[in-house]
Amino acid sequence: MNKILNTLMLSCHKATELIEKKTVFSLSPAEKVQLYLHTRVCDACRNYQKQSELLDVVLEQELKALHEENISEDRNTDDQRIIRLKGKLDTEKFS
Amino acid sequence: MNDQKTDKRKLLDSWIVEYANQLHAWAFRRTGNQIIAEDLVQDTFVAAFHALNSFEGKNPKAWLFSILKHKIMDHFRQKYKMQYVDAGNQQEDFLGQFFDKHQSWNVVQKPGDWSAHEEELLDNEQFRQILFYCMDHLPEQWSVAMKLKYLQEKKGPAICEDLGISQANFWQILHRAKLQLRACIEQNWFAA
Repeated sequence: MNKILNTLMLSCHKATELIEKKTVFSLSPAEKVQLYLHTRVCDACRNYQKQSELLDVVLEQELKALHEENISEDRNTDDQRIIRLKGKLDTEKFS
Repeated sequence: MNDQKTDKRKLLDSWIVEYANQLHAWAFRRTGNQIIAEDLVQDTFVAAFHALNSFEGKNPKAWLFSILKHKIMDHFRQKYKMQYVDAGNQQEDFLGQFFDKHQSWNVVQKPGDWSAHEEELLDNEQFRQILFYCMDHLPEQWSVAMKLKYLQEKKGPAICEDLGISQANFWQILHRAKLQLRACIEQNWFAA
């Protein structure tokens, strides 16, 4: 019985790895079952999973918002950037 | 010869005026860095200038964007590879902080319960500051991986293909980054 449990049960290291893998790739059916079983019995990994999902939401929102802000603030410097770009091409022309 | 060059240059200047800002905004959204975005856009126009003879299409915007896309992926590939050696060497030690020899959580690193605070985190200014502080303290390769995950409008397999890395490599880096970020937040926010 213990042997069966051991092959079915993931370590916490493995379980948290699968939690992250799941956010960018799909899990195999076996991995899904393993992760489900592990998080049912392991409080720490269940907490980890909830927190990881929360951080994903916050990070995506914050990183995107940060960029929107910077982009709109950046409008003023657009003209200067165009001047720099043209200048860069000037040096290129003769090289 | 000189006239030809001037014509090329005039054409490029008109493209700069028309497309540079869109290209810049796009590069910035993907790299999260104004200076890098500007460099990449410059590289794009320099490359376009030299390759102008091979441009036959009717759509300069699409052509410039496709050059920029390659420049961005080159940039990430370089950054990602550069940091890989270091991160690889620290691998064992790093995971050893979190997990014991049976790969279970070390007692001190066990994720605590945040559920009492979860709601308020979403728009708490102090929490945001800690989050960015913790993001800034990740090794560069790891934050590159995270930015790719959140800012690229691409799925994991496509990102890996672009970077020329294995999928396992990508999610293992994301795993380490998240372990460290989570721990950093718990230490600075919840334990305080």
